[in-house]
Amino acid sequence: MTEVVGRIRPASNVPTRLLLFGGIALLIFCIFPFVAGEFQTNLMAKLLLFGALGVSLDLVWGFTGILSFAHGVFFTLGGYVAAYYLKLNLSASANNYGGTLPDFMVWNGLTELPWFIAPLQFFPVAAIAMLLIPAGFAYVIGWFIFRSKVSGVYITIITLAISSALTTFFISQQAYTGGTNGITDVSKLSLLGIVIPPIGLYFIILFFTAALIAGGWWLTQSNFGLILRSIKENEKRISYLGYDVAGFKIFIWTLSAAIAGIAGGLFVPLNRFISPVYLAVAFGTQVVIWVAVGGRGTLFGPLIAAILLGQVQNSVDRITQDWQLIVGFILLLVVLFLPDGLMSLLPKPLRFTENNQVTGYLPPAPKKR
Amino acid sequence: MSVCALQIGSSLVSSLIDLAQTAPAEPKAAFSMIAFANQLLNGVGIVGILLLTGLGLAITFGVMRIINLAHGEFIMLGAYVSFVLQSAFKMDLLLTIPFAFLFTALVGAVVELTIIRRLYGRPLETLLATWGLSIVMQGIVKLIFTAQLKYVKAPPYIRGNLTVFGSGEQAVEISYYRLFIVVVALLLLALTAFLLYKTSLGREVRAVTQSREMAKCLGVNTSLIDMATFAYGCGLAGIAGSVISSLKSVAPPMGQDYLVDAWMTVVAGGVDKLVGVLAGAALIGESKAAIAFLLDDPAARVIVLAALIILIRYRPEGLFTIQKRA
Amino acid sequence: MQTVSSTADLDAIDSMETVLAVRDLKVVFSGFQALKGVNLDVGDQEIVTIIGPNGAGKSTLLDAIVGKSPVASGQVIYHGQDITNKNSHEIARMGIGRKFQNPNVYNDLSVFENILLALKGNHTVFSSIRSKMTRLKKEKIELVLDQIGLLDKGYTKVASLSHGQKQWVEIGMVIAQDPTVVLLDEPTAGMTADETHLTGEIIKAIAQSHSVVVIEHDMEFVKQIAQRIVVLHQGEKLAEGSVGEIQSNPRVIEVYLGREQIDSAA
Repeated sequence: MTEVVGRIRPASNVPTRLLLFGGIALLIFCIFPFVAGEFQTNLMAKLLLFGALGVSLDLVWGFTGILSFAHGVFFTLGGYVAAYYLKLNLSASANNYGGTLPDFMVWNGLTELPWFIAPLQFFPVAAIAMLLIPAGFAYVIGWFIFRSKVSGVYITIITLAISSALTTFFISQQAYTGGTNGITDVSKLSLLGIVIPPIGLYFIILFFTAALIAGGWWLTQSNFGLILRSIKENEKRISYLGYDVAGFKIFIWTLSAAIAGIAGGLFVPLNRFISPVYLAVAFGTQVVIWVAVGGRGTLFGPLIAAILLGQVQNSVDRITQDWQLIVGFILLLVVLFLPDGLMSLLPKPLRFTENNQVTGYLPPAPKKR
Repeated sequence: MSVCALQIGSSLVSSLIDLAQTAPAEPKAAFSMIAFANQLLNGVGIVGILLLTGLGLAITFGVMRIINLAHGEFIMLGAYVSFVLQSAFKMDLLLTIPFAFLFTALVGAVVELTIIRRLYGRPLETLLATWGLSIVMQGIVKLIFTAQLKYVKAPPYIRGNLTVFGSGEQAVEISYYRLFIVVVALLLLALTAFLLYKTSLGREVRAVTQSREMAKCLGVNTSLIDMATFAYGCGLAGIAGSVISSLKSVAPPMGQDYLVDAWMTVVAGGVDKLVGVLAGAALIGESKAAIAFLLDDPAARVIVLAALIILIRYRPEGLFTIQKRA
Repeated sequence: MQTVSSTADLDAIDSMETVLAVRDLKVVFSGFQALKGVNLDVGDQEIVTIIGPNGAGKSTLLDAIVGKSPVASGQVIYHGQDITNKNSHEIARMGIGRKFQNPNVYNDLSVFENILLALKGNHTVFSSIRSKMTRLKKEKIELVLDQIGLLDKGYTKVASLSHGQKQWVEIGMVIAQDPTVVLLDEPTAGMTADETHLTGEIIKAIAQSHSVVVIEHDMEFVKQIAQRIVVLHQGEKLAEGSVGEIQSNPRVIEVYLGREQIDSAA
């Protein structure tokens, strides 16, 4: 190995075993849609997005110690943006009313498109808004709650309140949001005039999720990741070292909301509708459960848990309608008996939780004092 | 980023403006002092409910620092106790209240023994576990009673309205039932304050929460105190559920609405003194009523929450808390 | 910039090259006056030792300087600039480092990582994302590890170290931070006599290029390092002077040393 002057290359910034397992996993996910059929492909695409949503929460919860029930909200805000775009691009013949005005607006007596929704009919605007609206919303909330000196528990309760207040608010604004039903019957996603088939959508989502995992790895392995872990262990101490803890929290919070927003935006062309169900606390709880079950502070845990629990729910739903009860039990049991989640059952090298920035170096030979 | 925040903000504002503009079209909602006074009295009722539902939290969280997200489900349990006793034995709602207290306190004691006790000193874990518990409790009640709405009848002597002044269309009045809620809430507040600050039991409770080790050395049975205090807080939630059971319907998810509001009350008021709950309830209840009068309920929820988020930026300890060291 | 109350004070600052000045500082906790108007000057490359019985307000004084406890009235002036009640990270960035009474270190991280976090540099969000591990940084960290005698422990988790070693880790963090003013709260608590002596030598080395404020109980240690001693009692400054002056001050003997002598006699 050649000597890098001025900079030390860690022995293994990306461990070989990570490349190996990641590669195998990626390969399986690439083959999956060709053997599994359309239903399973769509389900898997959905679960990958849920996993990505879990990872976004894990960045703020598992890595930084801020538990949020509002990540479903960020996801859904991105989802509404995408839904407006797809709804507004429904061809006139496909629309019940022949016009460009979405059906739910017609039903509620709107005669023209509200000015704040109109720009979303253009793809670039919608694509940027899908990320910026959740991020901007998160930034404003974050600026207030993290610059304040309230403890983590209060913040969690505030996120609970945000989720519940926004749910009622979206339901009440029928003319603009479609009320309880949300925005339904949206058009299929088409890019450059070509309608994207389900398998195409699957690969877009797979690419997004894989990129998120890779980016998340890079971020959490950086000095920034080390600071996040310090904030989680003791946020006061690091401020006496000159770090603006609130700034770090606001940044990761906003970034995580942007990721959740993109996941939500990709969810809508797949799901073909969005509704306040995804704003509600129950969905926010689902996200928390994926992270708790998978393992906090691990990048792969939430993804694995989302896929596992999603598949279980899919098969259990045919037997019982009481999935929520099972979810509650799972959460309770995990907190009491498996606090580090499923990933803690794996042997240590396969959890990929160590920070390689430091473990990558060999210790210097001890000197005599 | 700020542009986009502005966009959300302005879309919210514009829809609120729309609402405000459409409001006068309906004759009922036209602004009048009488209607406004009625709404303020309505607010008194909301204050009573917030106080009643927040009081249990002021004990479990304020005194013991336990984050109980299943608080709403204890309220729900209390309501179901009243429903069961009324439908099985035709019992008067008032008579069911002690049973609601006893039953929920018992469940609370079991929960403390099996779950809370394992998680002392780990607030986020407690929060998660009690959240799981709340889902489980809703699920179990749904299994037993189905998701159907149940109704509890208020006794005849607290039906009807008390007219404060005026008459007929111009009357300013408050329902006896809401008054009853306010009275119960204030009585419970007084009783709890008495127990906590004036009795030797209360002194032991405060000793345990301030220094567990020291209290143990002084011969206080700390684990019994923990259990009893938590059970008492849950029992208060049970009373709240029982008292408000005939206000609306009784259903498994009913606790969730009260949970968020109860927590907001506690956050706004601060928890170092019991009176903080009263202040928080008064603040949130009346501003909700006033905003709901000018706009509508969902807008009131959003605005009160936004105000609260701004409040904690500048008064993180809540409105009624003293500065403490470290 | 804040003007200092009287010209006499200004002259004093000029002549002493005062780096850190505390003026009539009051700190109140729910009605209790923890500090009742304390004055303190710290000169360039000077070691100021603060002693005083428990509850004298020693730690509170440091807390108020670094922005941990809110100041009710009075001023903290650093290089002529008023830093009273600024955010703790701003104060740290200006050049004031703090070691806490109980070692306040990251148990879940390695010694190396603890020092890395403290290492002087640009501590903003974006610079930390871009920041790379460089040979220069590694050498700096190893230099600090060597100075605190933990070079061979760099890769162990702090949780597995002894109490004394944790104290050193935190002293190492302050060294890595390279502030102008170093505030040390009981750096030798829980150390053996040998360790304490070694710590004294480390502090003297730090004082070669920094101003140091040390809170201590151990009189032997105070004698080893002290240049100037400040005695606090019940939130007020009781006395100030050299080791000899303090030892012969009747008021100090009465409230502090006297009691200790009685204690040791008993």
